[in-house]
Amino acid sequence: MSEQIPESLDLMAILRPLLTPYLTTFEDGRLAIWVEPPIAPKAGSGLHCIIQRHYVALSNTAYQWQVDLVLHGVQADDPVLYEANLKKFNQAIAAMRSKFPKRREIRRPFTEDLPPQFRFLLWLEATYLKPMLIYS
Amino acid sequence: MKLTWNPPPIPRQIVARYTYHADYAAEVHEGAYYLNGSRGMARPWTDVAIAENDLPLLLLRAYSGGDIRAAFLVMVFQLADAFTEILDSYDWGVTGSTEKQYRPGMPTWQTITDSGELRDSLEVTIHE
Repeated sequence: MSEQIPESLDLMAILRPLLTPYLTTFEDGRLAIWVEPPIAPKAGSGLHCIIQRHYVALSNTAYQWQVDLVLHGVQADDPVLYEANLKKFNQAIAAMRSKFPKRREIRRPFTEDLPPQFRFLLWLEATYLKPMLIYS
Repeated sequence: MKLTWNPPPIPRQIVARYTYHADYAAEVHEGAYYLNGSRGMARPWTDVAIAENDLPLLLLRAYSGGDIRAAFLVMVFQLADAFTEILDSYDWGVTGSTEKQYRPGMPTWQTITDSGELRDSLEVTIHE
């Protein structure tokens, strides 16, 4: 029995309901969750989720997808908005951790050049996707 | 992984840790999103080096029937050399950041541009 590799639409079906409460919209008004390529629309202000294939072919660490949570356009000079967005950022990270027990996390320091960003590398188990998989 | 030889017993756990101390190492390796909206592409040189080298084979070649620990250390430093080689010369074949990324005909990043700070910041530590 072989399983299909989870497609991006499968992953979107999981992530969209999971992260929608915390996400903002792109500048064009669409919900800020996007599978690349093509490159994502221009960022709005708030939490964005960018999904890409990971370098499976190059790597022995067989993670299939990378999911980036990025807090764009939120400046610390508005403390109330800033704190509210950081809270959503943390809640989204917690939701991802709860949903994907098998994962790798890459954190970066928040600097004057880098907005808060957090990467999950995911290897999706069949149990997450069973209703959507085709077996042969 | 299927072993095709019978390895000798390893007397105790031994771990090699590779650390790049340059501040921007993670940005180069993993890529990054910047405040101005631009994007740095990931160029994971360690992943490429590991994928391009058969580590069990390196260990087997270094092991001459004597000391598995010594063979492990040889393999560790061969891999460190492979990291440096990839850093210095690997053709990533990826285009620049943001919209240019998917536009054909735009200039590509052939190799990682490094003054040497990143390459020379590698520290290998052995824990046993």
